[in-house]
Amino acid sequence: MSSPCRRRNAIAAAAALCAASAATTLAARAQAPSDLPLKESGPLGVAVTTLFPGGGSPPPADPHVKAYQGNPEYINKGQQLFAWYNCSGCHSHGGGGMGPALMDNQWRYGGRLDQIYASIVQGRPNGMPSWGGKIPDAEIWEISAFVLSLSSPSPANAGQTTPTPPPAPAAPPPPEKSEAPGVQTVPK
Amino acid sequence: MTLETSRPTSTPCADARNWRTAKRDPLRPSGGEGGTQPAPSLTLPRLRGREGVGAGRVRWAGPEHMAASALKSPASPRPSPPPGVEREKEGRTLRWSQMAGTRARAAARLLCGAAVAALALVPGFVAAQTPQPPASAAPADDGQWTMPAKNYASTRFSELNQINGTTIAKLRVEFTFDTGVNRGQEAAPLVVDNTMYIVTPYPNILFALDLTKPGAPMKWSYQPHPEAASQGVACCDVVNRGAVFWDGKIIYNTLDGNTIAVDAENGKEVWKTKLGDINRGETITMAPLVVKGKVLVGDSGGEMGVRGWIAALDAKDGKLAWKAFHTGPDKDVLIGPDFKPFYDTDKGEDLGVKSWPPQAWMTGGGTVWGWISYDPDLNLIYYGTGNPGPWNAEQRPGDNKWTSGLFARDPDTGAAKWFYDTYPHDEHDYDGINESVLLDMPVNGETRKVLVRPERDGYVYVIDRATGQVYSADPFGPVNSTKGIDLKTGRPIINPDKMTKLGQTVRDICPTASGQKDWEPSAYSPRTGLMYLPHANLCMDWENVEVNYISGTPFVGANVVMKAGPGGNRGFLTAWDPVKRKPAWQDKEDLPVWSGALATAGDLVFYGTMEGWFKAVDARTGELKWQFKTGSGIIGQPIAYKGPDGREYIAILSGVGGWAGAIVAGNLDPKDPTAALGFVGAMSDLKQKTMPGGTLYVFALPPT
Repeated sequence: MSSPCRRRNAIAAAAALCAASAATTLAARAQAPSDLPLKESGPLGVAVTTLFPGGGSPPPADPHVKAYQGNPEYINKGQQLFAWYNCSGCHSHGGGGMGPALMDNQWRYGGRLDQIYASIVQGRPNGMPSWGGKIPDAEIWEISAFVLSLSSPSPANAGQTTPTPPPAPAAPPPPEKSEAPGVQTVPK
Repeated sequence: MTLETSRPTSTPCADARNWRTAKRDPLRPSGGEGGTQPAPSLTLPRLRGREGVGAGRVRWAGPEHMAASALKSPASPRPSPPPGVEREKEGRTLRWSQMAGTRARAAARLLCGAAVAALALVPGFVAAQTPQPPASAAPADDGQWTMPAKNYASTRFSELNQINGTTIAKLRVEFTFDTGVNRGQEAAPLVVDNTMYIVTPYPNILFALDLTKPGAPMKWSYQPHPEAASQGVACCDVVNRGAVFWDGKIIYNTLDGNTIAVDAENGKEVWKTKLGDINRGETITMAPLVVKGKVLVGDSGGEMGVRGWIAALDAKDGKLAWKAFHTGPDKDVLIGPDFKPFYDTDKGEDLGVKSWPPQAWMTGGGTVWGWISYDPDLNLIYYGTGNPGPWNAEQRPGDNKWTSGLFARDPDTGAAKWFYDTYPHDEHDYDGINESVLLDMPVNGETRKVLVRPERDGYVYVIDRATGQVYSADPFGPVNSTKGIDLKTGRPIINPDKMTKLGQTVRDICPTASGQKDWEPSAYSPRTGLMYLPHANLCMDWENVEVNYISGTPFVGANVVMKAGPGGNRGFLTAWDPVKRKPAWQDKEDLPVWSGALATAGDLVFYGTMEGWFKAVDARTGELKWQFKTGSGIIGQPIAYKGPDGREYIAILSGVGGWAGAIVAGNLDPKDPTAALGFVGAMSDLKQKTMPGGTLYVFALPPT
């Protein structure tokens, strides 16, 4: 219980910094390819649509994509940071909750690594906070790499059939008498 | 056709049966200050009777059975029952309602006749036995529905009886209205002056429908345009639990923390007061209550490390009259010389600071997102406080006052009168926000002013509403997180095996974080003396994890996975007898019952299921009398009203969501059982049963 983060601070910013510094310590940053240049326009240049008037194609990926995507070391660090910064509070372990699911390969604002990075940095209008300036860039790339790793590699536009389950209960029903000793039940 | 309404005292037949059941099984002597309540039996109750219309229906040994036993008592001064109405057969009681056809009806007539005769001999006897809400808090029904709980006693009981066990076969859809918002519809419609008002989940649109015209066309709609980002700090879907009518205004809250009054006639905004800050994680989902011209509002955000509060606004202009926090120093909690809690552990200076680690109270939760009741005679409001933050209790040693408990306050000043700490140092997210039904009922042989609360922790509490003393607390489903409630100290007897721990998964804790019963409000019928509890039957695995406070983000610190409870069915509608302290009957449901209940003088109970069935069951037996499949799962609050044509109408919003339905409303991924704070674990099949929706359904009998 010695971590300074255990002490609650009324000042939100200070608390956030506290978490940030602890998380920074957690993730050794020496290996982060922070020397990679951002694209000229930075994350703001990332398109979140596949529609380009007059023809065209998505802009080339940010150079960080190649460095981070699929890298187990960064994904692992990203997983730790995902919990540290309370990402898991909204997105659970990828299934979602207050925020959308991240493991279903459905992306409102694009599922390319630099698009995910942009969503974290900028925030999104329906409740995603803007983390730019709150989390170091390299850590946001690591979180992005972890988030991308959550979904299966199947094509995003692949059709999917969900079979209707048989009428049996979804889960095997526990025994009528609870296995847990000491269960109180309704008085007779 | 004229619609008849009936007051409880005008129904001698029904009351006779209550009279027959009342007082035969007086409260066990464990009540009062004296001793520790013995732990109830560890075995599940024996199922009784035959299977009803609804599959999986369960019947407990009910009041009739108890009455039959009592009738054999030589000490009983009551007259004998009509012959053949009840009889012992092979050790089981055959209930009159189970008899077929004419014989049952004949028996019922006999019973009525005998009861009426008995009543004539003992005037006033019935009223003294069947618990009744105080008249000041539950005035005679005018056929409208002006607040979600129907009245200040929170009975959700309609005196309309046109729709009853005989006529209900003809019940049909009268009109529908699509809200255009496909998120969890938890609100109760209001009906005032032949206009229906409904509030949607975010974006919290208010619709007014003209009930005097065919199809109930829209009169107007009001769009408050709440901040879109508020959706990201709403813990459990973007729900709204309804509006309230007061003095020509419809008053309700928006997800982004505003309280708004709208002119009921023309839909114009009268005032708007910002109370919550989404950047601190504050949202508002509860339905306000207006007491003596003050609008009572509390915040949501117990999963975001907010500091919970309740506020009173002047209904005329929205100006803040008072605000009480639920953590921190006494002056912030509005604890002063009038504060007289019943139990010693709630006495002391600044417990809202001292029962926390340093500064932890500042992010300690204690929100108010449920129900408020009001006793005009005692001039006290009653409401519960939400869970402490974070869920990980190891980060906040202490009792964590004044979270997960029950306050009584003076509505004029906000001054606290008493507090009962339902769940000190809450380890399981057992918010105390559920409804308090105000009743005057016999306790240990004396009529007491009590409130009856079915709590998240799995107990039905009977509490003296003048003093805060707990008279009884009985489980209404399987509970192993505690071993009972110590009535001497008022504290739960914690089961050490189910205490939550850092880095260790504690398995099969019952009930879940969502509780044996969550927000979904119960109904009480003064005719049957039964309280109808919609609730869940779930257990959970829980692992504490360390969590940092970052304002505007979740402050939870637990990995939770929920699952079906004993028996496998995930829900129940339980008819609870508050005097006998046990169920009269229970109806099983596959899914958690996440809708409110409505009881009517037609002796029917209405509720909805998360598959989308809207059901009516016999208030005395639980027998399914009628059902209709709506377009989406139901988590709303049914109401009854008298239309301009004199007919009785039943209204319900259909649209799955809320915490239990978040997997559908939020399109969550069933592969992650920890999703939606663990609820997805118990609801992984919901996407195969229902889709999101948002439609009002209104039912009535055909015109005659």
